[in-house]
Amino acid sequence: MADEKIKILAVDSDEFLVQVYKAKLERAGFAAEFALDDKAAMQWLAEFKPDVVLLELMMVGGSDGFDFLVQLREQPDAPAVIALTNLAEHEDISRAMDLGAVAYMIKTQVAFEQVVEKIREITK
Amino acid sequence: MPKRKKVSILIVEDDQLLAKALEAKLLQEDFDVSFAIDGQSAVEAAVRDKPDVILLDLLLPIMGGFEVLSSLKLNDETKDIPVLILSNLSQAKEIERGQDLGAKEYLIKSDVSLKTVLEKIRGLLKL
Amino acid sequence: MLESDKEKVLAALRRNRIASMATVTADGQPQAVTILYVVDDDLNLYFVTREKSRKVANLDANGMVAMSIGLEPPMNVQLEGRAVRVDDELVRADKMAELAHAGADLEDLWPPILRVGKEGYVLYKVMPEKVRALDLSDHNISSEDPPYIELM
Repeated sequence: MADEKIKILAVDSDEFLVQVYKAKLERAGFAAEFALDDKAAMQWLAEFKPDVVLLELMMVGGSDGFDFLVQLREQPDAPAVIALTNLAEHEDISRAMDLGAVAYMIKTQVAFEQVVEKIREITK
Repeated sequence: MPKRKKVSILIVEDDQLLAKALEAKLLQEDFDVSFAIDGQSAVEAAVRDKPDVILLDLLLPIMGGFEVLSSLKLNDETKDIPVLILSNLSQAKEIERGQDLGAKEYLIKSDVSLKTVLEKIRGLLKL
Repeated sequence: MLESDKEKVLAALRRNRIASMATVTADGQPQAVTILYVVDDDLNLYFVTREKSRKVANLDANGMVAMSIGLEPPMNVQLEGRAVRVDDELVRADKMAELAHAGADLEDLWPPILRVGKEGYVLYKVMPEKVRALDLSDHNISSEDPPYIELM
């Protein structure tokens, strides 16, 4: 049986950034899809069944990353969530971790290579 | 103990930019470099400084390259300095003339790189 | 134009991802930037920028751009053309995806556009009116023929 690729869903309202994530993830050997809001993300969840979700908590256009985290928790076989966000306050970090995020990465502090490392770490 | 004398090249070329590029390459290789920008000063410099090699362009002001070459070969003080022609002139008769007048090499600018010029100079010095 | 010349230029454009691009301010001053681009089979180039950038302000007033692409052999490509916004949803989606891949291809560079500006993205199409290519592969001291291909 062929090795199945680990599946990543990137959720972020930044339409260019999220596509760069997808391209970089594919180059790193993952299967990847992206969603620009929580509705699209829920659809991908059902169709694509990602192993990991990269989630921006601060999204433009009405989606709330924290709400989405709550929704995710209620899913059976929920994917692991890495918050990958511009929000950097302590209370945001605590809130996200309390809501079940397995890691919290702040965009101004990490290079994409570190995100990939984190993904590998949590999917070992 | 005397310092080993560097090999000296006289560049006879009126194109300033090319002359500078040649100089840079030759200095990198630890040669000593001097210039002449017209035919008359070229002959004067050769007599005065006795360079080890002369790089000679043919299209020069005041005295043309072939005339310079003749002068150099007619003068006992300079006739044995190897001359390498580096020119845009590429007709067979010009090449022949250069060789007849005693140039050791005739290089056409559109056919050679700076690297090749350097190789040819090294070749001349081995003789 | 000779098909083979066009193919050479296209190949050179596809080999690169980054271009120097100049726009002109409303009062005629040039400004140069570095952009990520992709090219189609008709030599149209696409780039993405932020809505509030200087180049958008310039292009709104004067759509002409000049670009220089590629410093390594075999070729440097120079072009002048007109940049227009792409509003067609399908084309925009397609080209943004292509640009994202181009950006992801840059091993040592994280696309600067992702780190500057917070406003939305604008996609531009550059339609060349003049294209010339400079052969960089010849190291010889001079040339008999000019080392340019004039494509258009």
